[in-house]
Amino acid sequence: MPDRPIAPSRPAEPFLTLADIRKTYPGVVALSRFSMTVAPGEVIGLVGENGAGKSTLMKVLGGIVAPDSGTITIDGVPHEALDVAESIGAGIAFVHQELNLFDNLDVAANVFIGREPRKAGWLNLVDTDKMRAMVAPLLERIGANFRPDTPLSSLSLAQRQMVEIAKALSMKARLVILDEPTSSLPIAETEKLLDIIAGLRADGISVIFISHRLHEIERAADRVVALRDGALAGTLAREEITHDAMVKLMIGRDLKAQVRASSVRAGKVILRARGVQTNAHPGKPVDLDMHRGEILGLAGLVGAGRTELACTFFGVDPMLAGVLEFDGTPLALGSAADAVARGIFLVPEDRKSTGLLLDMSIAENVSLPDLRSYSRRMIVSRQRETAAAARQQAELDIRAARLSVAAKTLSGGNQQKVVLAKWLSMKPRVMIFDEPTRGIDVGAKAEIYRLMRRLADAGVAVLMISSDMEEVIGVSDRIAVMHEGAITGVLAPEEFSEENILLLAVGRNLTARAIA
Amino acid sequence: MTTLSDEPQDPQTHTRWSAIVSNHVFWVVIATVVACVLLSIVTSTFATSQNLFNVTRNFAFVALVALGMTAVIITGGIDLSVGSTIGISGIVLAVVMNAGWPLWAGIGMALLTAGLVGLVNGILIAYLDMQPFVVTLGMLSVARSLAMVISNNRTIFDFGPGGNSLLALGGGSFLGVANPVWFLLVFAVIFFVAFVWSRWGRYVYAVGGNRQAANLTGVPVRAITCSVYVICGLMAGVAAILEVGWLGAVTTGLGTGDELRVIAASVVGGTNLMGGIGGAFGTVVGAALIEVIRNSLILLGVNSFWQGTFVGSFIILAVLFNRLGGDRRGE
Repeated sequence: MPDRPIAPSRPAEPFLTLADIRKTYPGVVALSRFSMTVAPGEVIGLVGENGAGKSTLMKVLGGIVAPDSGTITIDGVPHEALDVAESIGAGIAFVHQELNLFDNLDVAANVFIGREPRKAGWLNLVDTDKMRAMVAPLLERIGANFRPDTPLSSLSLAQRQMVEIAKALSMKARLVILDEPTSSLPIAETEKLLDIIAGLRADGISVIFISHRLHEIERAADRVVALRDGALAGTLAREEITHDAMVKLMIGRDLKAQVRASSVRAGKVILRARGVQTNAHPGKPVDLDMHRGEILGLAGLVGAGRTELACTFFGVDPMLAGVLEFDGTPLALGSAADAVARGIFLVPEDRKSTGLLLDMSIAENVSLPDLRSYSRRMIVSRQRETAAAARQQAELDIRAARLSVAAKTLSGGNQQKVVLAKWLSMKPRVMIFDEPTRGIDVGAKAEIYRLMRRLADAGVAVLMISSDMEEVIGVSDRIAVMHEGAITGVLAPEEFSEENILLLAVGRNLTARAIA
Repeated sequence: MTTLSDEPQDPQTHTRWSAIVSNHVFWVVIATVVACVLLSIVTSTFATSQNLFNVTRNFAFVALVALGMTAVIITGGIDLSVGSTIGISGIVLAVVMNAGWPLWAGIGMALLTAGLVGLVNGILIAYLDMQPFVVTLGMLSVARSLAMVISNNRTIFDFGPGGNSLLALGGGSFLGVANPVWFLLVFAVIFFVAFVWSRWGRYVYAVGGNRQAANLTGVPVRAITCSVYVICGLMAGVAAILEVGWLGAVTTGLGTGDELRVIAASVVGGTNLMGGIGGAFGTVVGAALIEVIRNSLILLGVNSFWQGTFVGSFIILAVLFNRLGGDRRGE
């Protein structure tokens, strides 16, 4: 991007140096001979597939795990390991993917939780005024558009991340580690976050930015550190950072992003929505046609009502008005079970909390939506469900020791495959994917894209909700864009561009020029 | 954290033996056996056939209801109204039979009443999304009060022409084992099969494991939630019929405070109050352990006022034990 500021000249002394770090768990080498440095004011993009060792590295920096060997040098002082207090004391702050904030408190209370300024007097009450006064400049510094006394519950995900960053600043952070900060952010808010990162950098605060969204790293990072199988796969200097170079380091080979394959004509309409209104956006009727054999991308900002629309198609959310037609006949959905019975399936965004039963085995998860067909009278046949799960395991390459292990023991990518397996073991006719590759590594992403294409080729109508531009443009056959509950446009392949999607997503019309 | 969950499980740590040792129910069984052995040594009165007959019969009443309670708790709910349900269905049984109706009519009406109480609970909780704690707390009061209304708060000893068969049903024995224990055996097997192998059981665990995910998978969450309260109510009805037959008289105080012992049995037996975990075998053993401890207090001459302290402490200990034993669900 053109508007990047020139990197300031840095002092030679790095803030943090990791040398020869090794950490093993029983049977697994999580990190080996890993070394890196972080200079003050440097933005480091940390990339690697799931399981490459990023999380272990973060735990080492956060003082949660101690490395088996190696040294961590902070400001020239070597440590064998950090504990949590040392990590915080050294000015290392984390903004986690799952934010650690309190919904029932206001912004200032969240920033100062556990460190509240106190009033004098024997009651030692919390000095709310002082706390808010201290938070205000921090919010201003990162350009927040909310106030210290705003209740957290009224903030968007992006704004909550800003609260976390303000918290880091309040602790005089010198290194802010952002773990997948943009994976759930839509475009406009992602821009904002990248601006904040640039601001931190200008203040001499170092940033480690972990993301699977490589083009954001491409824009934000001064240097890329790539991990593969627990070891340093390589580093890229500013001028070497390209999407392809990062992918190559991460997976050790070239991988062309899966792109739209078919010029196949889409089949007939299987799901037709006319004037459908959802709870989230009453008074905004939606018309949408889903064709057999087509991947329809559904783009838009977070809060545009995409997930709510999907939940309405799936029978989970009520339809306030309008008609749904399935295969030419009107469709009334009272519950998800009704949708499932017709072959309309949803792969939800958050697989851990809504996609899977983590305590149940792989086989039990696979059979759950269709338990009736695995049971005679009222008794479930374990043999049949295991056989079906084994078929799906082979088909989808689910890596697990046994089908009887609990879903929670699997990696993220494999969990996602189990969610898919439970639907694929039935006969899908409409598959709705809500952010299917969020937090999934590059290799597994490509597998999921191939799978969606295979489903489409087999005549399934696929609806893919995604906030990842690259993905929407690369995978969809058509793209519908939503803005505040309404569909603002449907793009044909020749109209696909980030600009067009963004215009529609913020509620503007496409001018003739923009289309051309 | 992705890396941790990516680590393959070390196969050596998952042998059959270690799986048993890490199982809560295993330790409850051990505790029960140890308590029985100790009591046999320390007292001359524990290991007598008369005492064992009483102990098994006493815990059978609690365990029968606890089986239903376990289903409720696995879905993540609670039923505080079981004691009052026992009370009202016992009263209905007595009133119907007192009016000259035969045993089958009394049993039918008692079960119908118990099932209705459960159905009201279930509908309010499952379909109107009310909190189980509040609904069943209200029902605890309502059912007890209705029992007084129905019987005009009198004690009923006369069960009409069917009275003898009722007394034989609840108070009799077969092959030296009290009838309620046989009932418990049959229901324990039914619940065991239902929990482990049936479609209903699978759904019950799914609802308790993750309600949202179960719903998004097409599990009939509301119907299942409603069903467990009906079943819990019915089990309270079954226990009430047997208990009335054994006691030979009914007061409106029947079953007062039983909710505590029933929930205790379920929780001591390894049922997790957060939902998703529990079983029939553990519940029965949990009920047995509590009754053995209660019995030991009597045999050792401890003032019976202390019973509540012990039962209550046991619930707390069981939950603590569950946590210390690595409650791996909430990680």
